[in-house]
Amino acid sequence: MYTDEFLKGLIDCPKKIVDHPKEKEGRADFLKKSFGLISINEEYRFNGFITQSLVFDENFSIGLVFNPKDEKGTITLLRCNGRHGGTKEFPHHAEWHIHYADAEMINLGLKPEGRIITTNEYSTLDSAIQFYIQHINLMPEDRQKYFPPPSGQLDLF
Amino acid sequence: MDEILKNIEKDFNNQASIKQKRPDIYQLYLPIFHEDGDMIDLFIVPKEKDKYTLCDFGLTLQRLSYSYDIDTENKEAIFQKILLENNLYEQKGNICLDTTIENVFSNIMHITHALAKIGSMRYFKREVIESLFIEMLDEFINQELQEFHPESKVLPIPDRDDLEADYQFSPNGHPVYLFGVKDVSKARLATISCLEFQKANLNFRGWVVNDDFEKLPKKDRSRLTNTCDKQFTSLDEFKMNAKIFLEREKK
Repeated sequence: MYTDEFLKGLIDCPKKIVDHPKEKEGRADFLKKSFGLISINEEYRFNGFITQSLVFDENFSIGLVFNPKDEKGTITLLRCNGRHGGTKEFPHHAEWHIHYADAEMINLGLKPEGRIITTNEYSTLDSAIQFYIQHINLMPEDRQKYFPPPSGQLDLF
Repeated sequence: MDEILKNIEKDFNNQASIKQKRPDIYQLYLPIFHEDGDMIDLFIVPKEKDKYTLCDFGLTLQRLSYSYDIDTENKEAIFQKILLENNLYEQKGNICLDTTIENVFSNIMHITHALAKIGSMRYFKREVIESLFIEMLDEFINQELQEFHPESKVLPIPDRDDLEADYQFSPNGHPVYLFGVKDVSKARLATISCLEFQKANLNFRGWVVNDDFEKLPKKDRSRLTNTCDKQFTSLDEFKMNAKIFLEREKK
């Protein structure tokens, strides 16, 4: 059985990249990059992805997916989405929002990432990536190496 | 354009709204959601006089790609079959259905239903299909190999409940123990079990049917091949030849 504390711990634990970001050639009008991560204590493995529509820049999603060792399947822990359209909470407005995995949903066999919160932490794909790498606690050297800030300024923290 | 947009709002009992996404591209905010709470992505664009196109601008495939990529011929064939069977067409991943004002509500319901089917292709992921291997093996054995008296979950060494064979056949005096190998851990268990049975001087044959022999790491393939008496590299191979080999055991 999963708990929300455990899921939060998976998001918060320090991580490093073990499989560098690779762009996958899409068969449709979108870009996709995938990468592999591991927690610093090497206890937990994750996949990450970044997708963006080539038609609508604001239609993007940046995800962190947990790969449990002892069970089949994966769990999407979070997805940072752009203003792609409505959600159940806001059916008539497009808002930047984040999907989070919810323990109760996982334990009931539902799609994990059904808890949606709106955010004003980012407004473009680039700023969403910078938010994401801090939020998932990616080690600073990997942040700089694989996702440098777009302005070219050094990341001091 | 205004007329069809008003029609849509009315047909959805004013529960829908429409917003211009780009010049001549209108996004439909419909009360139809994915399992994660995101609204289904659907747009309407003018095509020619009194004709319009409902489409998704590739967003369904983009969403599918979070957990599943259409990157093999088989997957592409399944995708194309879904499109064909639902009278949709695709332009570089943009899934489309043409409509008129009169049919717009039913066409919206139709395309959203089909987009959900495409989204559910993620259920074809390996771990789902792997679990079907065991079921399909069981079904074949129970339906087609009854003459060889199959028993399931047998313990060739009674006080070793950690060494269980999936099936036992009795074509003649000595048993044939069969292991259904769907992953590395099962491959190793089958190897260890056969070695232990040999060590205990049991008179048996150890057979393996693989879900996908090529998927096993090289060392596991070698160990399994060197230990067991007969391997079927796939379920299809087992279905084609199991009877023949079990008949040969009778002699």
